[in-house]
Amino acid sequence: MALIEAVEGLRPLDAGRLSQAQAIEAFTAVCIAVNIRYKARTYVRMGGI
Amino acid sequence: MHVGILGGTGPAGRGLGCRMAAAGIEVTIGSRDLARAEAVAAELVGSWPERSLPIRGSDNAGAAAADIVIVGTPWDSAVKTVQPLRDQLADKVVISMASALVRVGQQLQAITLGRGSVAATVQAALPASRITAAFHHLPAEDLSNLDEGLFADVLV
Repeated sequence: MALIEAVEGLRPLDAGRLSQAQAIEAFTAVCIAVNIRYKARTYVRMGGI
Repeated sequence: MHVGILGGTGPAGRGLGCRMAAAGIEVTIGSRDLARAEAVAAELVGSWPERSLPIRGSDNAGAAAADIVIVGTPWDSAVKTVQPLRDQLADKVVISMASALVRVGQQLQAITLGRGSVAATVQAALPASRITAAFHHLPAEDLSNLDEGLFADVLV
């Protein structure tokens, strides 16, 4: 977490245990599909926190 | 802090390496091919001469000597890359950033691996290391462009 915080512009969010990696990794496919559809380079921001 | 990126010569490894080095973190880009790692490191340092980025190239064993090690290879070579470094990576934090995706027609789709995720597969290959998963959703091209502002969350 400290490593991510050290990089300007990145905010680490603790999403839980390693078993959550499955959902995090799968969501990459969604990001890429949106990037292709909108010819964009998206990133993730979570509101409310 | 010293970060090593195994298989760090691809777009994601380059981008992350650049950003971390710009934050003053010492970065070693690793590769199976030492000459390629050195060339990529020199290219990144040369792209931002005024920043004197603390990046160097090494083989993967050299990158694995860092305090924190990121697996920057494509998902299907992650295990093959970390396995020979198992002893060296023991007790270290190892960050898995790959996603298991396959092309289906025009689209990339996520597939479910036997252990659930790339990160869990890497953990099984490195039982004595502390595996964490991060950096999956960042745009690699924007990471490498240090003039580009970055406002992204990283799910860990």
